[in-house]
Amino acid sequence: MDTKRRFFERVQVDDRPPGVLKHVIILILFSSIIIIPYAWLFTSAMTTRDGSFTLENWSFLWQEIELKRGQYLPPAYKPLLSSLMFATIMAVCVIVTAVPAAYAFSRTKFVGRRFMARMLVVLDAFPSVALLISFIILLSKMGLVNKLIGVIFLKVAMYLPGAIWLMKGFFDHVNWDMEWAAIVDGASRFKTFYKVIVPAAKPGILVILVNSFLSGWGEYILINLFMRGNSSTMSSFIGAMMDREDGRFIVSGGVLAAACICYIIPVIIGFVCTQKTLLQVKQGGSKQ
Amino acid sequence: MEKESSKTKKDRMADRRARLRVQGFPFAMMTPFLIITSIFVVVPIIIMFILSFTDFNFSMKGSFIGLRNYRQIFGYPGMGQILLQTFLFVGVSVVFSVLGSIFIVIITTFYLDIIYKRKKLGLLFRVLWLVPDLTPTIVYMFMWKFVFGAENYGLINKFLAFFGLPSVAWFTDYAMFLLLFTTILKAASGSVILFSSAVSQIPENVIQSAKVDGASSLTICFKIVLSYLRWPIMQKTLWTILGSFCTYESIKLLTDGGPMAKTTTYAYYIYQNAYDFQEYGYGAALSVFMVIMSTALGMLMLRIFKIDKQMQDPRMDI
Amino acid sequence: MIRLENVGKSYDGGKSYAIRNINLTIEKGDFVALLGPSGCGKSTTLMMLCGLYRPTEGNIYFNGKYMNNVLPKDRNIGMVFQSYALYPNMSVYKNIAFPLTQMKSLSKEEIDEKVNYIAKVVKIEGLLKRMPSQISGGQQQRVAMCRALVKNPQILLLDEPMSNLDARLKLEIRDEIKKVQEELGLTAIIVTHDQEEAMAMSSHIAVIDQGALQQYAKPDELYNRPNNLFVASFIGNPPMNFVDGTFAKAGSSYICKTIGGTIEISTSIVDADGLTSDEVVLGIRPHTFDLVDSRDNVLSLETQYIEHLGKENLYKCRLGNTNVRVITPANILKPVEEKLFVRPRPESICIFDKKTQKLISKR
Repeated sequence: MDTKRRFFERVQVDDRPPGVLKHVIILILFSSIIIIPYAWLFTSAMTTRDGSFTLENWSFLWQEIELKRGQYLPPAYKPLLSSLMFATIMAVCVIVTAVPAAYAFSRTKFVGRRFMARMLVVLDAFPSVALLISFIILLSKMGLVNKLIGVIFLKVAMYLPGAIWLMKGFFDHVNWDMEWAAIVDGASRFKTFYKVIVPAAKPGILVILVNSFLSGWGEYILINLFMRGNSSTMSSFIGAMMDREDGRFIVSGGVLAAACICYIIPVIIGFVCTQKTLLQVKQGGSKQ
Repeated sequence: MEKESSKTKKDRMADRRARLRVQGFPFAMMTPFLIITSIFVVVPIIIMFILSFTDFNFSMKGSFIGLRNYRQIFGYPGMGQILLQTFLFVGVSVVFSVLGSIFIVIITTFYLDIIYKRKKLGLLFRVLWLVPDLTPTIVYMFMWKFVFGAENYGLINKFLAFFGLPSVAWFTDYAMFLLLFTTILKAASGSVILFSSAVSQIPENVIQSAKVDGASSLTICFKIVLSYLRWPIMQKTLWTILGSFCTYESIKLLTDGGPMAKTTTYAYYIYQNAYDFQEYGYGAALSVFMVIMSTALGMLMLRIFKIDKQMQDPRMDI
Repeated sequence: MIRLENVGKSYDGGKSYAIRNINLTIEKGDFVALLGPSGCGKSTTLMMLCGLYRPTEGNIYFNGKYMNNVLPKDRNIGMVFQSYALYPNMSVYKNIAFPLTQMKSLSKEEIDEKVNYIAKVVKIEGLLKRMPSQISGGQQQRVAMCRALVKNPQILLLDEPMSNLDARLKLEIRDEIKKVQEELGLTAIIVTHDQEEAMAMSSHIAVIDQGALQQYAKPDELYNRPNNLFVASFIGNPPMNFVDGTFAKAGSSYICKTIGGTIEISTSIVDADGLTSDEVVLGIRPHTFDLVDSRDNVLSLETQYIEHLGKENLYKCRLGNTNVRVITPANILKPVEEKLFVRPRPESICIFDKKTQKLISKR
């Protein structure tokens, strides 16, 4: 009697309708256009040219690789660290610059506030390609060519309007009561900013941190444009490996694939870890 | 009766000091932003406008030539092809990426999460569909270059050979198709988060009452879910239009603009002038048009998304 | 001690006013309520007293000192917000200590002493280590009180502090606030839309409506001699009855014709200067009616139903288009079908000029 009732209850609690299979099949069919290339990438990294399993492709991490005509690429951990530094510095610069500015836009009055806010949106839409030539001239006149910090400044400057607007959206949602209370309690405006408002808008800061880091980590073209040499960052390292001779890659496809995986794994892991916060937070900061 | 008669001179000075403090604080907070933006955005824009009237090139030397660059742009015979390819690229990629992303989101979020309540499955596929957006472009394009590679390298050609079919020279004959395919996939992936959070915000009782009223899942999907997606779709469409006009990195990494400029868009043409041809004056003139277009789109977005309403007055006078 | 001189706040360069022409003088030790419906400008006034808003016109003085530009922290005030506004990432102790830590002149022991003292006064010593999210609404309110009082301010400002509490807790907190105010000798200003709360707690009430001060007086004066129709309708529960009438002179008194009958009113209680026409409104509180048997000098009302409230009976009646409420002691019960004949007591009646809505009766 008891087991019969328990089974019945279990079935009723589980109110998932049947018939999900056809949707899953459709999804698998469509998702195959993603699964296949990435699966191929993973398998290439683990196989030799003739198709047998190997881990020797991964030696590039600590060994040099020969390119054409006696040119060597450094062991991969160097450009990896370089990319890490680039992305981190960029993320930190963005946060330090964007968060106070967003606070000013969201919660203070100043001359030209509305105009500058509109400029933020217009600048956010601005094409970076249109400024490539100006950047070339500017950086060479500033003596920042072939220095990563120059590229970082460019990236940060182009990233800021969007980041400020996003952060402003988060600040807009923080209750005024706490700020009022802090002012009455004697805190200066700046103190209420970092002691009260910033903690309340932590999710927004996390979003911007992660996104700017990802943007810096994945940057290729600007680094390629301004940095001589082919191992400044992981992205240009991979770009250098794609050199062809006689229409074929010099570096074995497997090694290239392994390098690519090295490059994208941190992104995927980082995203999966912060995914829950980011997914719930994206709706709060949307531009609507 | 003079309202200000009870204020002393000291009080009026205190008024002025207070006003300075209130006005100064925001600018102090914005100082790093203003400095970086002035040097690395405003100055380059000015440089761009000035350069467009010169014949600067790789030698870093040039002189004023008036409107010659602009006349050259209009007279360039290849411009028609470039513009055609640009509009084709923008149009097709926007339409299909938005549609594709709506489709994926509806199946994962609406059907899997809401109707069938298999949240874990929905999440799994959604995370899968996020991967292209997260992948750095260089890796992404490398992947597809190999899948569609020439001869017997490419995965697809190997597959065709397996069935005895001839291999296809994808990058020679179908370059634009490849560009569109890869770009659409990446762009669709980029909209997944926005759309799926919009759909997951639909109140459960709205859907339940529709079910009670006897609506089929398909009807609910079209009548209810799509209306919640209206704003995100409009937003993403405008941003994707802008984004595809400005895309150049993907083109460089996938096809180098070729073969024979068959995948060169306006943005890529600017990049070529900057990097390959190093014709800075001419390239700057090209950029001016791009800036005009993006500013127009930006102002359109300001109006459509009622940005002014988001600028409420702060509730403090300190 | 606190003086507001023609204080006003406008927005959009003078296009709309939240509050205008406020003139108030508050003495030390007073408990003043800013009372009015939502959006009337009472919170704006409190914020200007606090210093978070600056008046766009007028001056504010504390003890004779011009205060318009003084920061809230220098005004010797403590403030309790409607939502309590506790800092969620700090413990209760840190929340209360926060104002002291901003002063930079106190040692850790001195801060500890003050926090513990005020926690004892407000009776929350046991909660000091908890986080705001772990305590109930009523406890959060007390913590907010502590934080407001820990610097020993002279003035306590409260913005609808009890609106988020249930009825029982409201009464409890009301008493506590009163007690603390008296014990510490504070001047308190409370914003509320609950007239009963204002009447129970305050020594003076400023009734505000649509950005204008309607009347500033002691509670019983507001109750018995409201300045205008708004104040009369706002104060008192059940509300005052309003009956339209027409004045006519008859010898040494006025005859007031209403739909329900004619009432005689002595000229000594009417300020004839305030009369702009012969149209008036009679204001009669529900329990200031006498039930009479005679038919002259009475109002006859149609009873719709009777509520038996235990200590009294409430007759809901109809007079023409208006509802009239009559309250009698429980032992007086008239049947519903019978017409009710009532006479307003002359010492309690309020007469308003219909056009100006101002009080024209005096006593």
